[in-house]
Amino acid sequence: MSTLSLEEVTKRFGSNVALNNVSLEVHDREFVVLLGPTGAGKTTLLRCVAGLEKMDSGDVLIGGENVKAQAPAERDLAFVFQNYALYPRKSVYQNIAFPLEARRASKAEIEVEVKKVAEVLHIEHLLERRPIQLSGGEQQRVALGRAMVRRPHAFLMDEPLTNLDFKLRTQMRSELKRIQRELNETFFYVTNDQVEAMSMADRIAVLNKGVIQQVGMPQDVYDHPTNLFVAGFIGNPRMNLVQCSLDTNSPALVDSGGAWRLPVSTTFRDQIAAGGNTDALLFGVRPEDVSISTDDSGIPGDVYVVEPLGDRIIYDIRVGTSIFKVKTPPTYRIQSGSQLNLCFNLDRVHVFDAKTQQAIF
Amino acid sequence: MVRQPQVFLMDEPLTNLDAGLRADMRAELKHLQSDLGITMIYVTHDQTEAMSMSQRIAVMNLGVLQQVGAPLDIYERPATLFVAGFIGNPPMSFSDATLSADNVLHGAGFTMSLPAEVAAQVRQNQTQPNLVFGVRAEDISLMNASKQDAIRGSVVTVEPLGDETIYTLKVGEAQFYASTAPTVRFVPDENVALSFNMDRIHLFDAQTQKRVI
Repeated sequence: MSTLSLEEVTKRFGSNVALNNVSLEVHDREFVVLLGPTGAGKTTLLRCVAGLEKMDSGDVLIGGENVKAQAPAERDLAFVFQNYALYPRKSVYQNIAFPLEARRASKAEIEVEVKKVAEVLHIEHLLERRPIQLSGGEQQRVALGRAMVRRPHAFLMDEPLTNLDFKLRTQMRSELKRIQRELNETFFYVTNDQVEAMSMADRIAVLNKGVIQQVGMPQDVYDHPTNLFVAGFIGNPRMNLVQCSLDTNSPALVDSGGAWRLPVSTTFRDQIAAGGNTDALLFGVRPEDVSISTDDSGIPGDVYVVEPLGDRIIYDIRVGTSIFKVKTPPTYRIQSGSQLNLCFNLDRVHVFDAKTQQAIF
Repeated sequence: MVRQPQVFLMDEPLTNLDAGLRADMRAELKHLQSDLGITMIYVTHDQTEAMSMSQRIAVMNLGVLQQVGAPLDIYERPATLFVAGFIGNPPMSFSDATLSADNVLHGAGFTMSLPAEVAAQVRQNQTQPNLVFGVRAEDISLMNASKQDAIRGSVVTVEPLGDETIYTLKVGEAQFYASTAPTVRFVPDENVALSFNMDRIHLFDAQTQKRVI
């Protein structure tokens, strides 16, 4: 277990800047998830930490020591991929024992270590099996076990759950989190799945186009995205985002299509006006912060699509030329085509500057 | 569409899209289908797509049709263990269970009394004593462990998703998922009390795998 520090890391492939001045610290025993879309530079960043990729500039520190000049093997990090790469002819026991054998540990020592790891991973009953006799989730645990016996400084994981079906993925998410807590080790985990990031991370680092967008605790990033990219990337269904401007006199937010006006407080107005831009704004609200009005108040719209999900229903409501997704309990049932009014939880709405893409609040 | 065919057959058309776009396209396809009044058979392994888009779902496993019905009917009354575990995310939690003569359900690490008419229905439908108890994450409420006569468990992991938080709980030998509002805050290893929404529990015959209530 050790701290990982990335300091002003830049990496180019030809004229393409894959990582642009990235600084990030993963604290000792922390679970940090690096989240971003395909092509954001996540794997490149992980490979720079591991020493598999040469940086153009910047430093990587492990436990405070600059490892830039060290070869991958010297850095003593465990790298777990989505492809498990287990030895097919070896048993689970032999697979996990392999790094210890390579280190010439004694038979007794190996047995103690393998048993200990198998216990944490809940695979004690599988030790005699071969990889082909295991499910995807079990294979993943064995791969993890093989990394764990080495006692590395930190675990680097590159989308390890991507190849599992959704049920197993849900299970392994909570398992990995439990394992990290029990091992008390440093985890640096890469994914494009915001659910994995939200659910597992102590802190999330959002990466897009080689630039760190925001670093923070999951609920904070969800509640207070600092820019449009983070707002749209985290949360499912996505945050509703609609172009609008500010009418400073009444005061109100006004839909660019002219379909709605949302009266706001003077404090709210002053906060937006302070940014100097009142024309090109984006109004953002998450589907769970929109409700369907029980009286005539609110913004009128009609039901475009109804999506029952069992534990909730998503309504797509058409307001002018925009669609608002609204999340309601499953007991709330209205028909497609119905007319209704929408209300917003004003404590939880967001406004972004459309030019700078930054959150005003 | 320009050919105006009699039926549209679709084979996982949204699989390669990213999550955000997939959610948008789901709604768009559903709107198109109802707007154009076309017949559509759509194949997917994604239960969210099935639930959200269809008028009726046909659940298939190992070449056998398991259940056909409206999405919410299937969600609320899955006919078999397979359907119960396949539809819904996080998946339904299960525990082996038996029913004693005094109408008490004995699960792995918990007991609960069943209403007499529910117990009678179970007895009528079960082919042998072994049952599987099932409950969905949203049908479990969590409270401080001090509460009497509730089912006790401990928190294994906490997964905040933003709009809700998923708890993985250990209750005796069984593992349960519970979903709560993001404002509920328990921590790993904390002891909690669980209560199930009795109107929404599920029981299956462990051998035939069929629903018994």
